[in-house]
Amino acid sequence: MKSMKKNLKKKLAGIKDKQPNQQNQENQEDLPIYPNKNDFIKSVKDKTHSPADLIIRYVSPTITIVYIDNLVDVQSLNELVLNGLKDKESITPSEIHSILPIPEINLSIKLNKSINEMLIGAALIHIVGQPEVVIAKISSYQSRGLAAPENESQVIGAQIAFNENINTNLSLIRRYITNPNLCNEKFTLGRHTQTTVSMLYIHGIAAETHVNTVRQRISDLNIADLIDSAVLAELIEDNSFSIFPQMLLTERPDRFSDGLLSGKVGIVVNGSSMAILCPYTFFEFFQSKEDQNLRWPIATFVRLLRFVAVFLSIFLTPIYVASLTFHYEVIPQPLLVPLSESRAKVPFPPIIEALFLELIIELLREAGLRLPTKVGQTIGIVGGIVLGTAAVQAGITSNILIIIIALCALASFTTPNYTMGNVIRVLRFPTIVLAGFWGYYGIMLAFCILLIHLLKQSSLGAPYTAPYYPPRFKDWPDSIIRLPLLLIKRKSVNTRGGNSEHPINEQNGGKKV
Amino acid sequence: MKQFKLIVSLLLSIVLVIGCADPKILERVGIVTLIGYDAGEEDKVTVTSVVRQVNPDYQSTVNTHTETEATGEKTRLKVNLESSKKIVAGQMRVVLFGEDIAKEGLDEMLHALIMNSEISTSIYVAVVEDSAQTLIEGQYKNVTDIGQHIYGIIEHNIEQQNAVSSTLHEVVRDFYSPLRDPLIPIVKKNGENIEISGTALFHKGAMVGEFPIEDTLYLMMVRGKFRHGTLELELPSEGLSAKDDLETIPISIDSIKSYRQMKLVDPAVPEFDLKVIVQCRLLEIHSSISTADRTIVEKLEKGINKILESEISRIVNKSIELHSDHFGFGEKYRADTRNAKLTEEEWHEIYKNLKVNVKVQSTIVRDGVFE
Repeated sequence: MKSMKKNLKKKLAGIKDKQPNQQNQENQEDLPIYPNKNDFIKSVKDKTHSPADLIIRYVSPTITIVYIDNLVDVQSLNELVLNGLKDKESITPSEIHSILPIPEINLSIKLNKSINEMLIGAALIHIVGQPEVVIAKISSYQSRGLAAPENESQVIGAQIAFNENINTNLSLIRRYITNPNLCNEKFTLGRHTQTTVSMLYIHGIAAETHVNTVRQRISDLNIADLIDSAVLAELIEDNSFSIFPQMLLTERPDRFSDGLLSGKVGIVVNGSSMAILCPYTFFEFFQSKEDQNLRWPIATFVRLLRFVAVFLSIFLTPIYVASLTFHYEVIPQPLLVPLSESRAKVPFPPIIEALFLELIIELLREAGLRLPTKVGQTIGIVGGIVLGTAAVQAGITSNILIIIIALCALASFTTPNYTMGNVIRVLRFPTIVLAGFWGYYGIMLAFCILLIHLLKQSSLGAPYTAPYYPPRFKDWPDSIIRLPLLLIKRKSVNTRGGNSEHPINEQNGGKKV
Repeated sequence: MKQFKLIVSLLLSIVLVIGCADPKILERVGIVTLIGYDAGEEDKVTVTSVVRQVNPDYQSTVNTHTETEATGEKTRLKVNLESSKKIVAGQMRVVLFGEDIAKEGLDEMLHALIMNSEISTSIYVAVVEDSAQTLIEGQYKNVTDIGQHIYGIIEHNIEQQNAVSSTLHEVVRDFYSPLRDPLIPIVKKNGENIEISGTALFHKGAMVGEFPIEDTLYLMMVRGKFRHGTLELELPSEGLSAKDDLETIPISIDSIKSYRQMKLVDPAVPEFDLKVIVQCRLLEIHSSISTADRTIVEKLEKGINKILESEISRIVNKSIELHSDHFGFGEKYRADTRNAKLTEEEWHEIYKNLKVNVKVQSTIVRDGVFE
């Protein structure tokens, strides 16, 4: 089964890749830099199909500067580059390299490379008679300011979230972790997007195998484009066919840094405000960073509450459906009369009734998500109250089911991770259908399938259900409960085996920043 | 891929072949909450059932149906023919047996009940003084669902140990055990009320006699551990009171905790020593008697012992007379006698001559505490 899936994955990847590959090969023929000014400009224009925002400035009869408008920082262009090149008639590229006061400056004799650099915000300085250009990296990057996290908000803890700029994000992480062992390996992914991806880990804490796995998976990727980290996570996770996420997407730098410090491997993608953490276990998805900031009995209570909520959210409606359809025997006698009386007018069997109400709740949720914030709240209230009462009075649903459905919906919101919350909310539907067909046997079947599936999953090859299966008792103090910090191992579950004593410079590969 | 196809086809066939289970949607079935059996003419049984149904006006109605047929299942068919909804018995809480059918023997009914997987074994069994049908069809004030009402009466009294516990499981266990007989409480229609009026004694499946409700306490003491109970006794006054004008002293004790010890002394007769150890609290006593005096308390305890011994001896002897071994002497005998190899008939032969020496050891733990 597993090998089949892998084959299928390869095939899919193959189909995706074939066309762009051919196109790319045409572009691959690498041109030199023409010493002649007009030839150079023509070659650049040909390559980039002379876009409207390509600016060509003649500083002096010999020196030409080519850049893309809005990608370069105007201030540094004027003050540093143009001022520095003023009145320089005969000068070589290496002289420019040494006199321009710009942090990052390169020389190149390849046209393709130079144009790629220009496209991410460099200015190309061409000198007549020289087969070489100077690449002055003065890129300006438009990004929003740092804001409070919206999806993973918490009461006690840092109120800062990643934004879309990888450099800002990396600096945020380095503010949390001041350690020369924090390694940063850079990759460029996507033929059309050239997205910068950074793999972060702490040497000596993260397990070598995990680092190697992630590095290999990222460098093996042959994709046309990469816009968001969620796509990258799906491409490199162990089983893309599973409904469960195997890597965490977080927008909190404190949570990300905490993951790195406990031995996980992190990935930051340029242009995406969510960073990836792996390996992650099923139970860690239900932990919030805030749990560590609360007193331990309260954190334990909250964690247990979340697990009860997950269980209720998946199984409460199916239990209602199964009990009313097949197992009237188990209904306690005091509940018998209210239950049957509230169902008396409903013309559908319980399964249709439950699916109908669940559908309404999902519609409300989706509508609330898409609508503008102000309208969204109103829709929620109108939908919830008006539809609910009307449905009961029209005799389409029973009162008790409304309570149950509302409870389930509420419970599914308690999951701290949005991706996992979505999974919980979807899992309910097949369970309701099975319960409606086979009663408690169906629920048990759903539970078994779920359990078997979870046991089969892995995250970077590490067991997904750790620390419970396989049992790792030392990790239990920080699982579905949280004991005092004194009893908690700093390294999180599944990250053992990383304690290599090698100094940092002995490790090969990877660019250390 | 082959494996995948196999799994998919297997799953599909499971779904399609096994298909859907037989649904019994709550509001579309008639739920039997109570069943009463009476003896009908010509070996038939008359079955009275209480059926709760829900109508679309959000109200549930309770109907009783009475049918006389050779088997219980056939009466269910008859009730189904009369009812707009399918009749199911899974929510049944109480089974009542009329006195006449109980005296004929409950063998067939108990067998049918325990064989029916729909019916829980934790339901209660009770015998009705007179006929079950008149009890069920009677009109009672403020009782909408007679099934629930009778269940309530029996359940809380059994929990408070005012009546012997008679779940279907316990009754059937005693019934099928060769050395033990069941004991079932009796309910009675008393005007506009229903009450528990006593305890029926059985010999093999048939009712052979009954104890009045006042004897339940002693029955419970001999049957095993007993937690709470209240007792009013009249002790002879000699030596207790300073005044001589009282002939007997009424006392009241409660919070009775007791356990019993049963010992086979002589397998030949056979002779048993039955010792009941009682701890109690003195609740009421005549003001002229000082309970601060230890000797008086000891005298009181002796008085209590004497009365309890005679009462317990009386009920044990009555049980022996009626050939009903509901205390489990037979099981104790078999357990304590090497190679007893006792058959049911042999034991009933022996049981007639059973001799039981009853001894009660009571302690007044404290007095005068009110709640």
